[in-house]
Amino acid sequence: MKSLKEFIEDHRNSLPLCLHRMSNIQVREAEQLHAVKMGPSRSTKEIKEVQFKPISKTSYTCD
Amino acid sequence: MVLILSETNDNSVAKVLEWLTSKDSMYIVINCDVPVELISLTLHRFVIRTEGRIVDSDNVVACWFRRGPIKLKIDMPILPVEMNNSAQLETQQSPDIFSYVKREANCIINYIYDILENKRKIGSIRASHFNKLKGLFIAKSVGFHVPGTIVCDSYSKILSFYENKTDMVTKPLSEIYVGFEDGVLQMGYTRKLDSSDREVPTFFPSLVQELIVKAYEVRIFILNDKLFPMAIFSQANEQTKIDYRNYSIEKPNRNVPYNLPGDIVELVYEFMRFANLDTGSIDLIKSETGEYYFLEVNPQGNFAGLSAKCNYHIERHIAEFLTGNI
Repeated sequence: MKSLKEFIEDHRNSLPLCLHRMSNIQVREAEQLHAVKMGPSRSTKEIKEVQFKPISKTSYTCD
Repeated sequence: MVLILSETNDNSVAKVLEWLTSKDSMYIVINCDVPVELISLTLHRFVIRTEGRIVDSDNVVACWFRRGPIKLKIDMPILPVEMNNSAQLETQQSPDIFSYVKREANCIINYIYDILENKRKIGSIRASHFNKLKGLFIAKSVGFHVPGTIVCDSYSKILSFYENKTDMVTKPLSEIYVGFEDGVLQMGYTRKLDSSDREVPTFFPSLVQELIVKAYEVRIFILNDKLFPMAIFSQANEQTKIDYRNYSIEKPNRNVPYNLPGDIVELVYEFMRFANLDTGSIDLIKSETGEYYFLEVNPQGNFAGLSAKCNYHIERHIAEFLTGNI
């Protein structure tokens, strides 16, 4: 099976110019960058707890 | 109650929720990556269930269209066996039925948006995919400088348009492409065209712009009449000089709060008015020769980095607007 790079190389005349050459970045480095840009990531679970933790009378509230 | 349309992992929303919490405000988040169930919909009111919680539009006083669209849960029955006797039915009729049900679902979702648009709101689901070319057209109309721009499918057309005079960049018309292969992300950032691009005489219609040599970039987050500008000194680093999003960990760009000149502030307001946007992130370039060039607006742009680096506390401003405190 062809790699993405090979696929792009073979089909450049069907693809927009911005795909003809791309920047490569290791996933670990991308995660570091994301942390630098956005602050530490929170897990889905943690965010959901923040979103829906009830605080007062109705089911819509949070604390 | 404040309603926020978001997605499951969204740090910026989490920070706004902390501000809402500190003000004892009621809120609920619809994670748009999780389908919702419709309980009832009349001309003035909807009730839906999202992840086990009920959202009644009568209780919603403010809405933030952070992400979207909402997905309606569709429980399509499996086609009856007798209908599968026909190959034609199996291959053509059943997809058509599913497409039809999706169209019906979209009508429901669009009307839910119509009801929410009448609330105190930030953003709009209809602005979520703002056309880059339309943004450039409006920017030029209100008086911004914009880079020379063409969408074309051959290198000869590029050369003809620019008369061989200037350096050029290509960038996506929509979002950056992000591919993944063998632990490596491949990102289609803005890049400068060079001689190797001439090897491919024709290609899919692509956005090509004049390269503006920049002194620095300016990103502005806009929330109604509040502007939060940040200067990004990306020019000195080879990795970021064409596209600052091509971040460097070893040598990060310097980012500072920025005072926009009064005439540029007025152009930003004019742009937002003509574009019918109440929020968004605008990218500008301050050229070496002193002009401000408009690059693009992203109505659902990320602001977390800008807010933190410039100490703007944008999350607090959003929370205060949603709760009617400003």
